[in-house]
Amino acid sequence: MSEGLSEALLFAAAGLFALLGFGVPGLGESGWDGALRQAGSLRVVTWNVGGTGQGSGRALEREHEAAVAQTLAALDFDLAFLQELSGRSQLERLAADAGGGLRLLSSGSVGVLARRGRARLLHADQEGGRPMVLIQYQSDAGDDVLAACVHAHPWSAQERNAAIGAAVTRLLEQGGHDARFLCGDLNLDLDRRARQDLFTDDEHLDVETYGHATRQLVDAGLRSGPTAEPDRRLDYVLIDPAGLEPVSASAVGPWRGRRVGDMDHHPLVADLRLR
Amino acid sequence: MISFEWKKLLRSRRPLLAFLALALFLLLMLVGFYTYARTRTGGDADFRYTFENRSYFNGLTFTVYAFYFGFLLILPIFAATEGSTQLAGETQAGSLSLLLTRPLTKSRILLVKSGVALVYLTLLTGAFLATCLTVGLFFVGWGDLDLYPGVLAMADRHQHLEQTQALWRFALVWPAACVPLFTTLAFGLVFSSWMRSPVNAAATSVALYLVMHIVSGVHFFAELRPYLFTSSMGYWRELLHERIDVSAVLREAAKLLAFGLFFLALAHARFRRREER
Repeated sequence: MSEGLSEALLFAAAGLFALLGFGVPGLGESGWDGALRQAGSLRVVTWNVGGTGQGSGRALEREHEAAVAQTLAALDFDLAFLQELSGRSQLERLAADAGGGLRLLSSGSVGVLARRGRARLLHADQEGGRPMVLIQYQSDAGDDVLAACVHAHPWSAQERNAAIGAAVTRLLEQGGHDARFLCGDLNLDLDRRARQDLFTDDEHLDVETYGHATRQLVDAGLRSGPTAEPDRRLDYVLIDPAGLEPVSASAVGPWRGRRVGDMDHHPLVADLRLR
Repeated sequence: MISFEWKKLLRSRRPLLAFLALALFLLLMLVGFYTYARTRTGGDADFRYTFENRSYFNGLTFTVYAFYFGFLLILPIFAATEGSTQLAGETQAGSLSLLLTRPLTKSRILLVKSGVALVYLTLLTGAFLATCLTVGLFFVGWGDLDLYPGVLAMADRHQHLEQTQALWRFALVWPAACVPLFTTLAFGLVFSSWMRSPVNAAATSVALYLVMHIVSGVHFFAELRPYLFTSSMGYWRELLHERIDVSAVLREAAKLLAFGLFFLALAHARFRRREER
């Protein structure tokens, strides 16, 4: 065999393997597929709408409220959990701009919007020094759902452990509901793609916290890709598998391209079905 | 020519030095593992909410940790160095010109050298994995393999393999782990074909490997990651899951083979065209 032919065969083999390796879609990390709501399903949105504020974080700015409201209106959600709001008045403006007719629940920087059914605030606190709300939602079909939302500490793994652990306990100790879930910006990044989380002060403790939460709850957004920049999966919808399941494999994930200004999170959308 | 290459490799003592370095690494891992297990899983850590269970630290966990770190940080350095010394070493020693006086094509020289180096790396990897398992099982303890999300990015949900099943999976890991080492070897060959000093070739390939290894593990370079072969180096982790995602394993292996064959073709192109002095 001539040397030129050997060389050509090597390049051709490299091209063939490149086609096999790169030519097919990735590990299913396509994010939320933007599908229309299925009848009878529960669409939950969790979104940290705050800006990075040069690393210290800041509440949603007024100039970006219209864009956030537009996204919320397009999502046609049942329940939206927003973090890093400036207060109740901002939630009211968002609710009005997102189409009106929404029920509002809020505590500090966390706000909840309910489009259908009835929602009531059961508990609002600063669990582990971080905002947490617990709500009860009753759908038009009469399903009774208990939901907790927590915005965990961005820098301290210890405080994340305390806040998320307390929220899980509070959620699971409440009986008599058809379904339960925990959502929010948990600030845990344990994704397989990055070998180390540069933003945590104790990755081992984050592993413990995630392991504790997922011992009884299911991470519905697993393998749906990063929910925040840069390339981090920080936002979660953790469901109690006894009462809830995603409506399809691509029913949970971040809706990319909706961030505005210096916002670093994508809205995480979950289309769920009661069992 | 194959037996000649083997003799040269054994006479160079590189295999012995590589194995001794890996043995030292394992010893340090063993010390570190004992210290970690004692301080972090024995109740010293202040975790309020935890699933921590000291029983999941056993010989198989030790093997995973030791092999993973050794594989990402030590074996590729041997692979890059081995590739770098192949042509540049012969050039500097003046033996390449002698070799070319025989009726051998440059293609054959390159492919035989690459083949022998790859077999050597395969045996080294197998020996390292077998030593990790032996040390782990006899010094740390037998038991099932449990992997948790976050730890070394091994799994994104809890994975449990019974001991026998885990040992079979390690048997699969061996050939799978040789694919990225072939890529790294071919990467070193590129520099070996461009440079006439093996030291320069090895320093360049190792330095670039480390740069790409670091870049591919950091959040900020998400867009760059798919184009670096170092991003796929640990693809064999999937083989330690309860249910193996075969298509993901094959896809990552294909990427690594694509990079490896491309590097080999580049080295071939350069070697074929260069003037020997």
